[in-house]
This record gives sequence, structure tokens and C-alpha cells, in this order.
Amino acid sequence: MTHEAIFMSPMYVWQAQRLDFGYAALLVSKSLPPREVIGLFRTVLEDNSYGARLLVLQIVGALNASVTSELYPSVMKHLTDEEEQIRTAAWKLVQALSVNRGLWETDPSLYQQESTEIVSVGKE
Amino acid sequence: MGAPGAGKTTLLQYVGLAYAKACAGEKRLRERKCHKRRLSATKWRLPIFVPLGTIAKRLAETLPDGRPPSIVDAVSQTLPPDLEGDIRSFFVDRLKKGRCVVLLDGLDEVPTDEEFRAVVRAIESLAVAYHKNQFIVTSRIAGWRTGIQADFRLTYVSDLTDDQVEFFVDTWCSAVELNSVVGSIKDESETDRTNRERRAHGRAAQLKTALGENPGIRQLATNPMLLSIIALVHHSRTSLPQDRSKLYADCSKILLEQWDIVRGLRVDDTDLKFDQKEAIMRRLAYAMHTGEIGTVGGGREATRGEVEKLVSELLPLLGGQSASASHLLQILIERSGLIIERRRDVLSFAHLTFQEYFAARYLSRGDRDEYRDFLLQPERVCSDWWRETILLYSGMLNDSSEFIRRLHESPVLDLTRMRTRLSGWCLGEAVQIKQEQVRQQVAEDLLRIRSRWSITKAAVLQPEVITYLIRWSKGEEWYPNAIISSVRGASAVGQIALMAEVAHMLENPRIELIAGALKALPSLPPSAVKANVDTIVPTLLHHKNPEVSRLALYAMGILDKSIVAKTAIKILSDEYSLDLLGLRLCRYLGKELANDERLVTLLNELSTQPSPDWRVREEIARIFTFIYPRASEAFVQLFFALLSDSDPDVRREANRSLTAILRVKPSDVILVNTISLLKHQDPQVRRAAAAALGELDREAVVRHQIVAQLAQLFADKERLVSVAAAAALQKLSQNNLASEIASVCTAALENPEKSSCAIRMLSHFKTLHGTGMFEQCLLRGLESRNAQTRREAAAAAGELGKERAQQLFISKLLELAQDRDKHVRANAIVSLASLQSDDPTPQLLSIVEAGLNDRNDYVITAACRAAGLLRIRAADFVGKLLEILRRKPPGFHLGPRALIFMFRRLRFEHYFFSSSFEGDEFEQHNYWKAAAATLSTIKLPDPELVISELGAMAVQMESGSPLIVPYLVGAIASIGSRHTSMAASRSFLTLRSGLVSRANGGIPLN
Repeated sequence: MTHEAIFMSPMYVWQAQRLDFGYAALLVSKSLPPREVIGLFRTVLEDNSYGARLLVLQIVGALNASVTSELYPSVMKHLTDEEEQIRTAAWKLVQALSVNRGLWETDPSLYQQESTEIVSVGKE
Repeated sequence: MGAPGAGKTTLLQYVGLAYAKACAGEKRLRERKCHKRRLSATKWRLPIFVPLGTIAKRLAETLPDGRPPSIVDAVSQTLPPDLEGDIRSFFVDRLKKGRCVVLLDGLDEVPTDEEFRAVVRAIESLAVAYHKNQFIVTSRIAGWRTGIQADFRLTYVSDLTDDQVEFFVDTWCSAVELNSVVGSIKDESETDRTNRERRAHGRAAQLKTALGENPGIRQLATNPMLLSIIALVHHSRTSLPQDRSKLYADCSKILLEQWDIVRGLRVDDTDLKFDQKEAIMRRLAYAMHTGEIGTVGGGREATRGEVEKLVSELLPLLGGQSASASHLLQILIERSGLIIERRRDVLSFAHLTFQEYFAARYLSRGDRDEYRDFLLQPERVCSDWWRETILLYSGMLNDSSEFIRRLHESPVLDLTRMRTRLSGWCLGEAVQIKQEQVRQQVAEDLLRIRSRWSITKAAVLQPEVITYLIRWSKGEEWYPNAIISSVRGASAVGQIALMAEVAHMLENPRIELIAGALKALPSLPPSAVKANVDTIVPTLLHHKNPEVSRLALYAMGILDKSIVAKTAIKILSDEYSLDLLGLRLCRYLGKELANDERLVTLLNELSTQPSPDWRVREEIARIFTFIYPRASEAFVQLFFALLSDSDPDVRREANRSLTAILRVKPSDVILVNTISLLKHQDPQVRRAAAAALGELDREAVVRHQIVAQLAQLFADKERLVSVAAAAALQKLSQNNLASEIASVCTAALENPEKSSCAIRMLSHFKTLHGTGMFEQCLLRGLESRNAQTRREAAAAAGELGKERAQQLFISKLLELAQDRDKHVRANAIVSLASLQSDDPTPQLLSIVEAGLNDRNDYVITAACRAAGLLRIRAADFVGKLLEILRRKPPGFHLGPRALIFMFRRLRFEHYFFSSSFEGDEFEQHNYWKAAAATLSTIKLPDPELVISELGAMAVQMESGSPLIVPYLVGAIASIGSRHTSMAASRSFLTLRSGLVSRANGGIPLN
């Protein structure tokens, strides 16, 4: 299976929501040259199946910052995607990227507050 | 459920019609299994269609005998008096036999809360009393409110898909053309028919193109009602407006005026212009929506008398005769289709949306300030009945900034932030906002709520983000986020005040509000939480909504321990089995669990019965950590059985608990049990037991002869077990047990099966080196046929130290540097380099170089390390390293880390500037990242020079590859801070003027 097959072939993309598959896809993307990854992911984000888009949005955040940054405009477009899950995935990414880019500022006092929260047993 | 115009009523009518036709004996429907195929129903039933809006008022009253009326009572009251008695008994009879399907339309159209409660109660009691029948209720999503608590399943009317939109357009266009045929269809000639079909086809194609070109309208077209309006507007205008309120405006214009003109039928003899007719509609809609006529508090219907009176008052102001009111009304009903006669002498707008649209028109045309304040009243802002009107109103203003600003700037702190939400929706209506800061303000607030107050400030938000935020705000997720951000945004005093609100919300019947309040509890100050919700949260544990009960369980974690214990005892003794909920509460108690006499007894009693549910077993494994000092024999056995459980999650939790228990003082029972697991047939269990035993203290190890037992495992046929045993021994060796472990390992060396583990262990004990015996074993290991042993031996040889490394070892390692196993090769290269670091032989250098060219990344990394150890600084060698840096993209696991390590060792600074580095951005990125990291950590002979070089580089890079600049600036800062350098300050000043003068693409140069 070539790397294009993972992202482009409809045979594989339905598996996108499986955790192990996402992990494998992430490893493959990390081993490719960045320019190739950017090109490939742009194509996937422009026009591809639900599963493939979701897969890319889920793993793109774990890639190198320079790769992710290049994909920022394509990710932004998915904020208005028709699919709820894709919108949410894109949102998470945009949020992280925007904070990195200095477009938004997080409240540092919040983390202090969270660390003293007493619900260590309750996870949400 | 569905949005306005999604086709809920139509669907319900379709279902009703199908059932009615079948009851009337239509042949096609009476075919075998037709009901199953078409409606997935089990049999044909008698349909009873009940518009809830019309009977709501009756349901809210009480009958003469003092009981509240049922739906059957209310329906029979609407029937003509002569039918009432017979019909009532007919319906009751059919309902009792379970032969009906009751179609309850428009739960949202019940305006007041009091009536709503009455209607819901009536539906619930009907569903209970005649449970054999089927019931279908429709409602707008926004009007569902608390919903119906009976056993109803929620389904949504889907949006139209692309294919369905196209199908609709085709069908609509051909239907319109068909409708315009004069005379009978049968008499139509062949030419006329082809022309008609061609026309319809052309129209449909035009409309599809128009939809494709206009994304704003395309989104609206997924809604059937809006799509038919779009088709209507397009049919008469051949162009489409951009937003919803314009679309309604066009549509009402067509319906009130143009429809007649297009068809060339001049039937309208009222002599009223469009504006005048619209004025009547506006007034009428406003009167009905506010409840001036018709239902008190606003409703959809009014009697003909009331409407006529209103119109006759209005007509003289418009220059007409008040006497013609009745005639005019009749024409509006017959011609426009905007107003329909629902029943005899009861009028309403054809669709609630039209009423809302005209009411909004009325408000937007009248006295601005007065009506704005009217809409901004809290009872309208927060009501579902007025929502659409407010949205349409804001879309009609020339500049909605002021309206949205007032809406958004609420003086009272509203826990669920409904005003912010509504402001966001108003923004989404494509309104004109002349004050841009209002848009940004609202968007920023939405952003803060979406991020639960974790984002404090935003630069100008981009349109995509705003669109997303507005869309997101329409979902249920709004409530928890809004409550959490309200709480987090409030001051300490404000939070205590909000606590009461949150506690109040927990008693609200709406699921999303309870869930939101529960999620917000952890964000509140603990003291306030305890005072208020102690009693409410435990009752929510058994809530019938699984989401609420789940959240309530998490919320229990912040309550007082005594309450948790009390609740746990109650649940466990009520169920008298190991109940999941009770066990989870026990876990929240933590160490205090063992102090609670009643709980301990109860758990010991219950532990005799193993559970089939893996979640229960998992919880048992978890709480055993807390309860083990007081656990009964049966409970201990139950726990040890979990270590070899069939479920991996249970096993994992049991392992964790066992490790935690052995770390503190375990009882002998547990120790003996754990040791016996070392001989368990399952390798996973053996490994877990070995790893856990590594946590023991010296006294227990000696008493139970753990060291010997672990050393036995070196020969285990599963590598994971032997490695775990070695790791455990290594841990124990820090525990004053070194000599004992060393002697056991030396003995193990004799056994070839145990040797790889033993070598690994022995290399940790420096005292043994040089005794001769270890070297002998090592040599045997290097010659072993087992790759595992060779690997360990090659690594251990490097630890020998230069003085003890005999020539024999070196030559063996040189051989192993060409081994076929990659780990052996890598270990051999590193070991060689560490043994010969002072005086590398030419042979070694060639081996390191070969390692750099190896096909395996693991070996390349090892070769890099070796180069660092050897401090090879020959120009061609460095060139080779730079080559690797270029070849490997960032993120690749060899990565810059290994290279930075090497550069630090090599004191590399001159090469960074002397070798001109060409490459694309990624290669440059990687290169400079490594360079900057290196330069900022090594000791530099001439820091000033390096800083100024870096500064010049940063300015040069800034235009081409801005992503590299932060690394360079970081390096300057780091060097400067260590050397208190003037050059650093100078560099920064130059940089600042160089970088700030241009917009630097959003790179944070802190």
C-alpha cells in the first residue's frame, strides 16, 4: 500500500476513525518529505471523502509546526464544513494554531486554576 | 422535530392521508405488506390529526367537574355540536382497541408556558391511557422546551440532500408549467407538450445554476419551504436575493401582487397597491403575534370577526373604505395564499414563518426606539415564540449594530448567556453592521464561550471563524460552555452568587441545562458547591438520562466524602450486589474507604459473587488498592483472579493496583499470592507479577527470597518476562541488595539461556568489572549465536572502560560493527567509539563513516553519537554530517535531536557560518534549528562575533523564511544572557528596527 492509497483510496478511508489506523497514517505522514505531505493533504482537504478529511484533520496537528502552518488556510475552510465532526476537528486545530500564531491569547491564570481543581477523580 | 419549514406538518399530513386512504379502502394501499414497505407500520390504523395550537387553550382550562380536560375532550369540543356525542364515543372506542395513530402537530405553536405544561400533561396521559395506539408529535427544535417525558423516540426531519434539491427543482418547474396549460391535458398537442417540457427543463437548469452560484441561498435550499419560496422567487424574477429576509420580502411581494399579473388574471378588484396590502398584513401579523387578537399571549389563529374589525379600522388610514374589509379579506384568502381559513371562521397565516416575517416588518418600520425596547424586554429575548421575529427584525434594519449592541450588553448576568447567543444568531442573519467593533465584540464573546473562557484576547477574528462560532452556538453544546464560562469569568464574590443559580438549574427539567450545570460545578469554589448541591446531586445519579447520571457521578467527586460514602452504602445495600455506580462512588472515597466500617463489611460480603460485567470487574480492581488491608480472603482471591482476566482493561487495572499495593507495606497473604503468580501459565501475568515485585522493600525481598525467584525468570521463554524480571532486579539493586543480586547474576551467566539478561544486569555493577570472570562471560556473549545476547554484550563492552578493554574486545567489536542485526551494529559502533575516544584508529573512523551511510536509521543515529564521542572535526566528515541534516526532513525520528547532541560535542560553531548552506525552507529550517540549539548551549570563544552573525542572518531570513527567525533570535537571547554582551543588545536593536518595520506575518517574537 503506497501512502497515496491511505489517503486517496476509498477502500481505506472508512477506517479513518479507528485509532490504530490514524496512528499508522501519522507515522506514514511523518516519514514523507514535508512538501509532499502538504501537497497530499491539501488535495485531500479540498475534495475527498468524509473519512479522509477527518483523518487528515485529526493527524495534521501532530505533524511538524511548519507543515501544519502551511495547511492553516485549508483547515480554516473546514470550519464551515457540512459535517459536524469535521467542523469540530477543524475547530480544535484552528484553535491550537491560532494560539501558536499569536492570533488569540490564552489566559495563563486559567491553568493555575485548573491545577488546583479538586476533581482529580472526575474526568470529563 | 425539525427547523421551521422542514416539512413536519406536511410529513404528518402525508402520513395521515395515507392511513386515511387505506382506511377508505384504496386498492393500491391495500396491497399485501404495503404499510410495512411504505411507512414501516405494522398495520393500517385510523389517523386522528390534532393541531395542538388550536386545542392548547382548551386543555389549559378545567372541565365543569373540576378535572383537567383530556385531548379527546378538547378535540370533541371543536366539532359541530350535533356530532359531539357520537363522535366522542366512536373515538374513545377506537382508541381503547388500539386501532388509531394520533398525529399531534405543532407542539411549538403552543405559545404560553402554562398552556405548554397543560398540553404536555395531556399528551402524556393520553399515551399512558391508550398505550396500544401510536403517537406522533411534531415540534420545531427551538419549541421543544422541556419536551415530553413519556417514552417517545426523537427523530429529526432531515435536510434535503443535493439530489433531493435537484429532484424538487425539476418536479416543481414541470408542475408549474403543467399548471399553466389552458384546458385539459388530454387535448394538448404533441408540439405543445415538447415545448412545455423543454421550457420546464430550461427553467430547472437556470434555477440549479443560480443555486450553484449563490452559496448563501444554496444553504437555505436544504429546507423544503425555503426551497419552494426560492423556486417561486426565481420563477418570477429569474434572479435570487442574498439572504433570508430579502427572500421572504420577494416572496410576499409575489404572493400579494404578482401572481395574478403573471398569469394575466386580473381578479383583484380591491384597488389596493402592494404597499397597502402589505401594511394590512403587517398589522395583522403583529396583532396576532402579540396576542392583541386571537389567543392571549400570542398565537397563530384569530376569528374572522376579530380580523375584519382590525382591517376595517386600518383601511381608512390607507385611503380605503372600511366597509370593504370583508371583501378584501376574502380576496386575500383566495388569491394570495398567505392567509388561510383553517376552520370555519378561523383565520391564520399559511405558515408561522410568514406571521413572524410580517410582525418583524411591522416592528422595523414603526417607531424605532420604542419597538427596539419592546423586543429587548427580557420576556421576549428569552422566549422561543419571539426568536425568529427578533432574528428577522435585526436583518431588516439598515444598521443593526445598535440593536445587537443593546442585545449583547445585558445589565444582568445571565448564566446561560442567552443574549450573547441570540446576538450571535443575529450576526448570522447577514445583517448590515456599520460598527465593526460590535461584530468583533460579539464574536470574541462567542469565542470565549466556545473555549470555556480559556482565551482572553483575540486579534481580529476571521470570517470563517465567526461563521463557525455562530453555527456552533446553535447546538446543545452551548449550555455547558456558557455556564462554565460565566462562572470562570465571574469574580470570587460573583461566583458564590452564581452558585445559587447553578443549584437552581439542577432542578430545571431541561436535560441540557442540568448537564451544563453539572459540568460547571468543578469550576466553582469548593466551599460554595458543598453548601448548595449536597442533596440534589445524589438524586441525579439515577436520572433516566444516561448523560445526566454520568455527569452526576463525576460531580459527586467534588462533594464531601461523608455524603459520597452514605450514597454508596445506600446504593450497594439496595441492590445487594456489586453495583457499578456504588463501586465508582467507593473509588471516589480513596483511602477513606478502609475507615468506613459499614462499607468494608458490605464489600466483603458482596465479593463472593464474580460479576459478568467487565466494568464492574475493572472497578473492583481499582478499589482493591484502598481496601486491601481489610479485605476478606474471598475478596483477595477475587482480586488475584482479575490479574488473569479475559478483558485487557481489567488486567491493566489489576496490575496497576498490585504495583501500588506492593510499593507500600503489603500483607504476607498478598505477597505469597503474588510470588505464586511468577509460575503462572500466562506470560502477561508472569510479567506483571515480576514488575510489581520490583517495588518491594529490602526486608520483604530477603524474607521471601525474591531475588532468586526473579533470576529464575531470566530463562523464561518469553522475552518480555525476562526483561521485566531484569528491570525489577535493577530496581531492587538500588535497595541495598546489590551484592546479592550480583552473585545471582554471575551464577546465571553460566546458563546460556539466561546470559543475555545476566550480561545486561552485570554491566550495571562496576565493582565486578576486572574480576576476569565478567570479561570472560562478555567475550562468550560477543561470540554468541543469539543476536539478543550479542546486542547486550556489545553494549556492555562499552562500559568496560579504556584501561580494561583488551585488544581482543576491540577486534570482536570491529567484527560486530558489520553484523547483520542492526542493533548489534549500532551498539558495537557506539561502544568502540567510547573505548577509543582519545585516540581513534583509522579503521574506527572508516567504520563510523560507514555507519553514517548505513541503510538503517538506528545505525545512523548511533554513528552520529559515535562521531560526537570521537570529536571528529575533519572538514569532509562534517560535510557528511551536514549532508544528513539536509537529507532528513524535520519530524523524522532521527531528527535534529541526535545531530544537536553531536554538534554540541564537536564544538561546531564555525561550520555553521563558513559552509554556505543552500536548500529549501524545510532543510534550512532543520539546519538552523539545530544550529541555534547548539550555539545557545556550547561555550563560545567569541560570542560577539557569533551574535552579530546571527543577527545579520535573522534580518536576511526574515523576508524569505520567517519561520527560522524565532530560532535565531532565541539563540541570540540565550548567548547574550550568558555573556552580557554589548553585541547582543546592538543586534536586538538592529533586529527590532529591521523586523518591526515590516509586518512580520504574525510570528510571535517575544
